[in-house]
Amino acid sequence: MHGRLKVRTTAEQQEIKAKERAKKLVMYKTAMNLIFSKRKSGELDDEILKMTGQVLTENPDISTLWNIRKETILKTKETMPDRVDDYVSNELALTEQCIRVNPKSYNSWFHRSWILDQVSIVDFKNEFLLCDKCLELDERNFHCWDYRRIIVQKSKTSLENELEFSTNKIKKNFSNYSSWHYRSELLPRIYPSSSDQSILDDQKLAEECNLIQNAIFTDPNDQSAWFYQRWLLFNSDEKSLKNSSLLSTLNNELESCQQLHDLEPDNKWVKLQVCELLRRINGLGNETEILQLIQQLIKVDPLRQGYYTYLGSKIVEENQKKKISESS
Amino acid sequence: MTDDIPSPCDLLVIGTGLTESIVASAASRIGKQVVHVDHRDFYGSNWATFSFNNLHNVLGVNKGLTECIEETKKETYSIHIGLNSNTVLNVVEKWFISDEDVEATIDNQLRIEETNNGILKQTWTKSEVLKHSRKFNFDLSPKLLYSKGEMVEVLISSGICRYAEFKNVSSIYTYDNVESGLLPVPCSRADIFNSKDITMIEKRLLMKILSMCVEYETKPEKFQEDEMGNFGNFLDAHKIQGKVRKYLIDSVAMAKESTNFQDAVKNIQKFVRSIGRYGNTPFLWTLYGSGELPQCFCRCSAVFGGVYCLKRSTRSIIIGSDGQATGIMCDNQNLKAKFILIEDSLNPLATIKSGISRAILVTNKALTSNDQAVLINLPSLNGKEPVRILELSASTMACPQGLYVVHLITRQVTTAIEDLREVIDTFFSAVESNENEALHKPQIIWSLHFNINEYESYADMLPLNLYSSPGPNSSMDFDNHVIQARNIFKSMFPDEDFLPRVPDPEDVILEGSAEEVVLQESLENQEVHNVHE
Amino acid sequence: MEDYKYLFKVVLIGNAGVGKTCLVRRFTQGIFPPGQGATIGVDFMIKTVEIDGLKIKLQIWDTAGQERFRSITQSYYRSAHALILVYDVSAQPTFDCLPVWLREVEEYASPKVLRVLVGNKVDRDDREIPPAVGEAFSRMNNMYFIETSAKDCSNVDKLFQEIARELIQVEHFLLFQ
Repeated sequence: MHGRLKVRTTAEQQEIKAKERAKKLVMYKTAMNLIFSKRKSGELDDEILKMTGQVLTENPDISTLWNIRKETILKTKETMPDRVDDYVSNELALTEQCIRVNPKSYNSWFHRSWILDQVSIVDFKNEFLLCDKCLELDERNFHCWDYRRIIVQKSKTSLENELEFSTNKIKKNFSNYSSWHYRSELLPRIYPSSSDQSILDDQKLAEECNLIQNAIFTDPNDQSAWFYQRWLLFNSDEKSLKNSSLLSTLNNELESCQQLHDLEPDNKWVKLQVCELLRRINGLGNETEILQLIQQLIKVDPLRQGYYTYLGSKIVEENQKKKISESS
Repeated sequence: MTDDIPSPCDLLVIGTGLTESIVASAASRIGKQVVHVDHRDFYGSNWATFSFNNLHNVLGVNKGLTECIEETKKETYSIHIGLNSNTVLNVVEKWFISDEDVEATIDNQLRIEETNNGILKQTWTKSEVLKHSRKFNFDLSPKLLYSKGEMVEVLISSGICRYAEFKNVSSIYTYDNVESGLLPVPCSRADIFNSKDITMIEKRLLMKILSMCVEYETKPEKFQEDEMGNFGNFLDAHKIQGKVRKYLIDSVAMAKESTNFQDAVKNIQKFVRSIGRYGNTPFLWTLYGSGELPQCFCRCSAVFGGVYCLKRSTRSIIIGSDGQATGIMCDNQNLKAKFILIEDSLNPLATIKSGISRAILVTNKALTSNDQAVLINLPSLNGKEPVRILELSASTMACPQGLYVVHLITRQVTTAIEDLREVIDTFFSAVESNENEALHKPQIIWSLHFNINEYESYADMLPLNLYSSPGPNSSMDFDNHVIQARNIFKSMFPDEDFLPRVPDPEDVILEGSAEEVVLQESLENQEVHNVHE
Repeated sequence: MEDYKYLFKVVLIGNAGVGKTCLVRRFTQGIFPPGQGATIGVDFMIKTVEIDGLKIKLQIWDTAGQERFRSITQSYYRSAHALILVYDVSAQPTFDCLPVWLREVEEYASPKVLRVLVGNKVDRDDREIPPAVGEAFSRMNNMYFIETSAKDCSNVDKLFQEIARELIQVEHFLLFQ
């Protein structure tokens, strides 16, 4: 055929792949047999590390192999303590490779965390870099977030640094539940209210409310934003509401939510939030309006009719109790 | 070279501009024999990119050769190609810095001054600039690629993308008349979220309109009949004013108030779809200039057997007795072809439809703090045409470090100088003065103004196998040209694939390779078997 | 297998018929294709060599026939790490054209590109250019020089190995700048 490329057909491609797979299977079986026989005879040496390493690189989820490695490292600590650092470097390199292959492998992350405990000096900068990279690939990888929490604790990194990290993450993509969640863990520890440790101080609360409003207005369908706002506003108990600044914050948020509601009358999240705000501010006084919204919610989101009905009746019950306690 | 150009061929292409080069590559790709000629000694025609010195060689100098009256045989006649016609006209070049003083010492060639803040500033002299001629890449027709547009898709599927490099346009601006300043345009959701220029409600409205436009085909019920006249009406109906209206008209839809609603929506869809693919804005810029792209397609054509000849002048097209074109006279050779494609600026049956007004500036400072490739969309005011500014820094390979190349593009009304005077005066300063520093205006070191003609030709005026290939227009991107190239290709070869996907290089079996030998042997064995049977 | 340390782009230029494609195919595939047929659809050929334990992937580009009418695109020269200019030792005109090629290189290639002059077809007995002449030309123009024969294999591997070796040194130098 003049002027045309010759290309391997799909059948030819598949045959090549099948041959490769068969080869790999034989190698795997041989390696596993050898590993287990060595372990049985107590040969926890460089060779067993090499072999388990080869298998784990292809398939990081074989827990037993990681445990064999742990056993080997512990043995090295006893018999050759001055060489432990080299071995630890190898473990770090291996776990990093395995994390590349499967960023959600429990074993890889756990092993890495375990390894950090085996040495006194850790290069935390590197650990943070690894975390950053993984999060860039998948912002919601909870393994990575958990690991980050571990290294923050171990390295005694300042919480303010971590807050800045979460701010940068949110600036890049505000649709990230994990980033907001992380933020909610950090803020009360950095900016607690002087009167009540469990809530944020007034100024910080106002800033965060403003921040989350940007998210809500940009995309009212983004769940993570609504959840964060709920945490900001509804975290405190009844007593704190006596605090007039919190009450005025809630009123401000109500006004802004109502503006959004006007623009997006069919959006269930806004409606629900307006409901909850009315309830917190003055559940009894706003009961009529609340129940009207409940009816609208049922129309707009019929799949959750059960929940909205339940919510409505719960609010009515609360109000009954209030009426009783007020009159007594 | 005494080699003769092969004849006959399947497709003869005259001119190495973008549109015709795409067609050439598509035709070669499906196995057609293509011969591609250009009277110039460079690729790209009116899409080409030049260094400083090459620009001087090309502009103002008429590369046309005298028309030659060929003996016409009986039953044929020729159309003469007027290479004298200028497509690039009204060229005005101006230097704003001094000539090198001939007696100055070599040390003085590069004067480094310290400003008040102690920042080292390099002063450029004319000879210093010309010394770096090679580092400049000036486009005649600079254009952007939508990250999810026709051009990018064709480059990827054909594998031609590996011949060029691209850079993200780092930011987009429009102009705020009220505050007399550049206004950054939020492109991605994150931009909108982070923007301090618009209110919460404006953010919601902007997002709402974008979603509506993106879902236009799937949810037509959301649109009222009366909203859909022109884009301005549509925005009025949804109470979109102020900055959000500006963003949408000037930058997202790249339109005017009077633009047809459907066209605006299509652009908006392309804009939104393209965000995030390679970067924060929807656009890519070709490193070394847009003139790279015609070369890339030409190479693809050559790889698949296309024959390339620059510096060959086509003097006439020969028409047979049946009214079909049979070939051309190229220098002294009669080249025969089944199909002929000629760039419209050389097509004697094409007429001037409109024009583009252009300016290229070399400046010493960026207009914005963003230092890479920046697009500024200036709205159409008082019925005037919108002007687009593309500012390129050294990182785009447009110029040496420390300088900037600024392209201005608008539809021609009078001449380039007149059409662009106001914009240039608004943003740039020609004279170095302290006042200049205070206003932070970049200073112009050199400028070039010119106009480019746009042509039209009617297919029914041409022989069926003679096609006219459109030259550059005033749009900021390439997609129309890809579509036009595809249409031309489909008209010539209706049953063929247009630049089909390239196989993985590892799956290609090369002629003469060991694998091919095995394949050949196994085929032969089969034959032997069959004979035995 | 993406386990290479460096990837370098190498481009070949020179008159039609000097043996550029043969050199590449001899090096990458180990064969000397008979006949002068064009290789349709092949942009570049790849071969990985090992220098001092480092895996170096060479991406060797061909002119796609555009040199036939002196119409190589300027973008062909871009981002090339090394440039091989080939002439035919048995064809004087191919040597006489070298200055013209060099002008294009000056104009379009990076000033830092590694330049190698290759006199090909040394297997032939109708040689017209003595090695010393090629050598002198390369010295005058700051180029490496080597004579090869794609047909009998002489110096073909050496040509590309030396290029790879030289390019690594340049890389290391840049790293330590």
